[in-house]
Amino acid sequence: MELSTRKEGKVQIIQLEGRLDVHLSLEIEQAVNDLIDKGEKFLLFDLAGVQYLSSSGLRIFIAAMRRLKGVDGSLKLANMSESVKKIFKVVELIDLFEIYPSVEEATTAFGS
Amino acid sequence: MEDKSNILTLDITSKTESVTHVVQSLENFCLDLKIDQKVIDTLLIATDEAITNIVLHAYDGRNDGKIHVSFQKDEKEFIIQFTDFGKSFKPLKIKKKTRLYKVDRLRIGGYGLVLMDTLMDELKFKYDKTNKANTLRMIKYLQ
Repeated sequence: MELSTRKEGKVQIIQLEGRLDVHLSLEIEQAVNDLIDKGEKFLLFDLAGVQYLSSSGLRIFIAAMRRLKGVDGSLKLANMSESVKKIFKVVELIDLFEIYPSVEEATTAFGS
Repeated sequence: MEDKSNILTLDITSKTESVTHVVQSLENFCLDLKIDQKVIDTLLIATDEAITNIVLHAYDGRNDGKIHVSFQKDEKEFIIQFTDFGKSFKPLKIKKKTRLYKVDRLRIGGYGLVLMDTLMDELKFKYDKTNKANTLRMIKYLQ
């Protein structure tokens, strides 16, 4: 699987699509780990194309956040649908993440 | 006589790819039955979590374990049942509160059961000692 990514300043924008089930999530988690290994510290996940998110998908963000904390990096989420937001709420992780309505707003929030 | 058009059964093996296959089949089945999209989303997530648990935990990642899946829509409820022959599992109590604000202490997994329990209206685990079979039955009320 290839992640759709682009860089805006210091921010690595990662566009996710489809159903983040266990199969896809394991591949994405590895790809995100590779980005962090290459020195990317500021990750922005664009979730506009995510149809649904399982707990395997949640793991991508929790694992990335833990790794980024260790290198003074950070992670933000943008374009989350109501059904995806519901999953974060059910497991009470909604307050843990910085969530923005658009990629532009999230990118700005990273600062220069 | 039972209306077979309201029943879908699948026999799969314990591969992570099976999750994608079953979820896609379930969505098509629900769309044919004109089930509300919000209910479909709930059923897809609960099904995803259940099969993921079987693949990763009951069968410990083995990819040749057998899983029987059935979906049934009745007038008032949607019934999902999984049978596997892996390690027995019966949670005593599903821990609802998961909140932990320290990122480095935040658990990375274990949210699947919470999601299944919250999104579905009934959840029943059963272990059949004679056949060494685990059965999980989940029900979503439609009215």
